[in-house]
Amino acid sequence: MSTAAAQGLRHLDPAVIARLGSLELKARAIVEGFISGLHRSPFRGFSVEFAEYRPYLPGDDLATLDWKVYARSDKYFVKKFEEETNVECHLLVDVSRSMNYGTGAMTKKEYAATLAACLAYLMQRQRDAAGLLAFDNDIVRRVPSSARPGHLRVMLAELDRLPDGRESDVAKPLERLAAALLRRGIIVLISDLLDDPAKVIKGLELLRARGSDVVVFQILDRAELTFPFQDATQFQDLETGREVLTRPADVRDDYLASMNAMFARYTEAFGAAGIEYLRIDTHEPLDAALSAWLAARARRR
Amino acid sequence: MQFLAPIFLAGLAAIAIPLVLHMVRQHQAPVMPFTAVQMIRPAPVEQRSMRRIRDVLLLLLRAAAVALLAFAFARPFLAQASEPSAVTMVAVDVSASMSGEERFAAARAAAHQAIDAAPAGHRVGVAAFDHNGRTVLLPQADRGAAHGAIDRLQPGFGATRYASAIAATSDAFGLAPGRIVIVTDRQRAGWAGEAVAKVPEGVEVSWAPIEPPRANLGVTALAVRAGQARATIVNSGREAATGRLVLTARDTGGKDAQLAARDVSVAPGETQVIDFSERLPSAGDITVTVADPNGVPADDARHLVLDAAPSRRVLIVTSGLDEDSEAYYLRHALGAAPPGQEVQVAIAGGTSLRDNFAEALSNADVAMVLSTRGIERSGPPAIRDFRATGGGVVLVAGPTAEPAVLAEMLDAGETRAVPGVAGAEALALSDARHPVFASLGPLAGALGSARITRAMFLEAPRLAVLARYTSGAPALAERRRSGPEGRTLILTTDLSNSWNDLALHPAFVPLMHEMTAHVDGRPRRAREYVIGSPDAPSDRPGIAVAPGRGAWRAAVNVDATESDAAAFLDAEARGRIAVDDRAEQKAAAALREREAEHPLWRYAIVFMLAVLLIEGVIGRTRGTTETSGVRA
Repeated sequence: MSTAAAQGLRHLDPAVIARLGSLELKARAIVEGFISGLHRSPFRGFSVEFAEYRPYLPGDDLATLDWKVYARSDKYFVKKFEEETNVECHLLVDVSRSMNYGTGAMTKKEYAATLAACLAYLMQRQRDAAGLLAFDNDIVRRVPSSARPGHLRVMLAELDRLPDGRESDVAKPLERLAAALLRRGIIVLISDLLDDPAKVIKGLELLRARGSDVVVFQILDRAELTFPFQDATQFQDLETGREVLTRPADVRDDYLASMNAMFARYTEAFGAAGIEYLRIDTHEPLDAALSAWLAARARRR
Repeated sequence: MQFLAPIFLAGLAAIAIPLVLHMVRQHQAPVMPFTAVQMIRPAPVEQRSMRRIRDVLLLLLRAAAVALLAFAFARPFLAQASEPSAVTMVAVDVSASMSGEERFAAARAAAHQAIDAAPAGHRVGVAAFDHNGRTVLLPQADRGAAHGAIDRLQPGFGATRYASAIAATSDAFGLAPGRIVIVTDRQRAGWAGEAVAKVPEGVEVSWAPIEPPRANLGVTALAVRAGQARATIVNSGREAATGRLVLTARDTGGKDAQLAARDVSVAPGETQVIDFSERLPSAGDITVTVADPNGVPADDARHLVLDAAPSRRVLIVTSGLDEDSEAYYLRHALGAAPPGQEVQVAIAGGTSLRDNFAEALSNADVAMVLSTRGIERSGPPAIRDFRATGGGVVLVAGPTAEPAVLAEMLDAGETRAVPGVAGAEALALSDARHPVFASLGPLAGALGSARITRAMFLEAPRLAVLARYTSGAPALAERRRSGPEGRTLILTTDLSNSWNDLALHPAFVPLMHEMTAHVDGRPRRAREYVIGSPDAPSDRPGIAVAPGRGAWRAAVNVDATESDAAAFLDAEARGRIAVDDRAEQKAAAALREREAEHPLWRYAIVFMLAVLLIEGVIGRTRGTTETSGVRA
């Protein structure tokens, strides 16, 4: 098989994913597509206390395989440790009005929901607890974290019907989440982060300070990244309704400079706080971005 | 390049529409929802900024599409390299009055002169006319051909009709201007009964007169009065004329015999009636000629047929029980025929015809079957044979007619015939234009007042229903025939005043004549025809045999008005000729034809579609790059 064809199979185009019916199908298609290539689970607990055996699943760390059990029964089993079963992953999905923007096959919100679904699916495969928080300037939907077998369905159903939000304000939900968190866990924020960077950074630093593993996915449309417009246009803010009349060709450089400044600020602040930060273009295949990140994360551990 | 509908070129103004739209669009920045608006710096939008090349291209394409559409609607066509050159048409009178070597030589000379006198650059054509106009030579530059065509013309025996001459020559002009030179003896009678002649616009009519003979004796009428011939002689010249009048008889064997000769002297413009006392034969034909060496030869003889008037032979078949009452009304109706349409009626009872029906039919043109009694077996095959040889049949479903036998005689496919049904009903014509009803005029409509108390119900596939009862059942129907077989009518009620009151109806007599004439199918038997009349069997004078079954002999004579030398005045002619008010329509039709030869509008439409396609592709490309990114 040629490299290009292999790429085509591996990186499912957003246009193809958008046509898949249910969110579960989308998540399964994306995750199953790359998971076999991973050798170690990207999410791991911290304890060494043995809890149980379970059958080997592709992606499990080969180091956890119990070779004695294999010698006796000719079956692969991995040893589970106490903390592994207790990783709590909180998926924070921004549903503010700006997330409805999209010039490709998927809007940012659809893309974010699919990404969250993929992560939830991944958690479910590993029997880890996952929870969902949808927010705009407040929490609008919440699914408490759980590792129960039927929980994935609940999460996916909720992701499938995310409400249309209002203006975004990341700081407030983050504060509330920080207050509610009892245990350390993994916190995944999926947002366009077109908010006041200071507030965003402050909120996430707070969570990080409480010992949680924080991952930030910044979802942006290609039009937001490249500003391809030509003719004189009256741009209207999706959230505030504010209008700006301009000639895009003339102000493109300024726009891109502002965007890059914002990216630089996030990169710097998150790097200092030990927060993982990933920027995703909604025109890019989701599995490519996800698998690259997961592979990098697995290598770091 | 010319346009069939230049008014549509005004549609070019519609180019302003895309232009205006383009300008309006230029001045309005579209509102576009976006996210990171706080990062966008406002910039003043100039009102008259230069557009990008691609937009100008779109504008040009749209304007081109509109222009091509207007162009196509204007129906363009390539004009001819040059306008058609003018035409001179020389129309030569070849009617009977132009006969005679000397006179026709004068006519030819005048025609040659007209050709030579045609202005340089004119194409010259030749036409001949009597009661028919015909183009002998289409207009062409070669005048030698025109002279040749004139030399080949010969006078005939037709009647003069100027309108036909002008009509025949007018078509040769097309859109070209020019003139018509009519070489004629200017007989005033040539205008008689004619509508105003129409000439195309830009075409003038001039006359090249030929002198009539100074003295001309003509036989203008021949009749038989009390067994004696009476001829009418006219001198249409300006001088007295003498001549010898000869009466010749020809028997049916074709043998000629001179019966009488008489010298006559006729003053100018005088008409003399000459009675011949000699006894005429009962059959054959007679001819009266006058020796007139200096006059018009074509009117020197007149013919007359002496044969007994040919009449239609109708065999009426009754039951034979009470012949007199059964065929009483029919016999009297058929007996009341107008002159020239005499009907010879034979009545026979079915029982007497049992064995010799076919023989009786052989002496008839039309068989009317009122009863089938006695001919139940022999009737149907005899009728079928009779019909096959062209005989006409009228079947009448009277009280003594057996429906089954009538159906057999009708032979119109699978027939359902039910005897005597129905109450008091009226007739309604299904096909008032059928020849049986057409010549009845208002009487045909009055047939509806007849009351029918009984009738036979009839249904057959090969029948055309001409009249129905108010119940919808067929009253009078015609069998659809194939090939040369004779016609058959069937009336589903009787003609003896017992099942209806038709026989007492005012339309009864003409209806019976029309029915028998229709099934007989032969033309009216005229004794004499005039050359130029539509049904004349010949275009030469003499005795002709009229065509058709039971052919008869008829005399064919020259139109008597050809002996009238009175000439029309120029003012009269001017009053008779008008400019064709359809000239514009003709010109428009000619333009349409020319445009139809090279339909440029189709190319314009194809180009327009191509332009729209390109515009669509470019517009779509442009639209894709600037679509709004918000979804519901």
